[in-house]
Amino acid sequence: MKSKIVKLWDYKSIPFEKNIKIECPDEYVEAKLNAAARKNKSVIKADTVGLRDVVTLDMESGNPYYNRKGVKLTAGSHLFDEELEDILPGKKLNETFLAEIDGVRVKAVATDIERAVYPEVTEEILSEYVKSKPDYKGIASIAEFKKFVREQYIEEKKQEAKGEIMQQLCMETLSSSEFSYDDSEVEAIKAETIKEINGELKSYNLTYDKLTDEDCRNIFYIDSLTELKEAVDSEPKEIIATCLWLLAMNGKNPEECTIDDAYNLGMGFIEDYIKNAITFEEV
Amino acid sequence: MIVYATDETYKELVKDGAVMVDFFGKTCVPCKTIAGIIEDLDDEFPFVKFVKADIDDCPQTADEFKVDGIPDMYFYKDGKVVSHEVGAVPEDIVKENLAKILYK
Repeated sequence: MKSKIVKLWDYKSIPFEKNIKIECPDEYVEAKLNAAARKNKSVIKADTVGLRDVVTLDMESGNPYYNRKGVKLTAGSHLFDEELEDILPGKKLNETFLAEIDGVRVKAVATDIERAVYPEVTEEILSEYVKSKPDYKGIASIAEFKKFVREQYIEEKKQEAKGEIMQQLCMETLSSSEFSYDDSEVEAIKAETIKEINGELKSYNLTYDKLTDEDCRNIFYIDSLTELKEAVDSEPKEIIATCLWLLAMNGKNPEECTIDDAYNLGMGFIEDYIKNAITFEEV
Repeated sequence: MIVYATDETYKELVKDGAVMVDFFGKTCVPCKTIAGIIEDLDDEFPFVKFVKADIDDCPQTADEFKVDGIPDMYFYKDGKVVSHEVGAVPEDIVKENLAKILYK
């Protein structure tokens, strides 16, 4: 690599949450257990939203995403909008409510609420179900199933928390450090990025230089072409900075290494640091 | 709702609303992973239509879509393909694609 580190921030000086509480909601475990009986479920109308209910919403807002009628969503699935879905439980049928989501005011009303009702899961029903699910192999009772689901949930949340801390440390370290970027290296990475984007755009019969704002929204979830171009322009420097950091942390000389060499070194050093620094408390 | 397609029914099944198509094979192991994910998602999102297309039952459609690796998934919004995934991708990726056909 031709780019260089000017000043490297010490990631160990960055504060982060070291004691993390994890709670597995009973509803989560019940929902997993209900799956065993879903072939015989029935659907009823409800008058108050509960987790996993199918809700039809009419919304009014200055933001087109939140200004539509008849939107069907599953409360708590976070497929439509995490913040909005999290405030839905408890809302009554046909009762208008106001929400502020990322600074956007939304007036909404649930015009229909459907709830799946599952028959009670017996050991027999569960035993048939686990046979069709390799992940649950060996589970012989409802108690074992619940324990497994709970442990799996907690493990996932631990990994998520570690990932978030790692992202925080990486971003803060890199933004507090200084690098000297080699122009040819930056341009080469940018060209590679555009090549990858064009590869992805092939199935849409589009190319990077012919994209519109609408294409960016539909294909990349990015609001505008300007935003996409800014990301493409800034990404090479982010890649170079990350690679220089990885090489430095592994005692390698950048002049003797490539970007691939840096990526192959991995983030083991910071993963170990986080693993040793945090404690999890199951509540 | 999970429905099974044939060459004759395919176009009718994908023409309206949010539809996920899964081209699969009976003996394909990764297809079973996706089948499990689809069963879970059908339970969670009953307002999405999940179309299972066995490549032996839909040879012409599979040919038309140049399906050469399975599972092969297409995500439709009102009859138009919005996105496409190949292989036993994680549930989160399938959900991202569902969000595209439902809400984007």
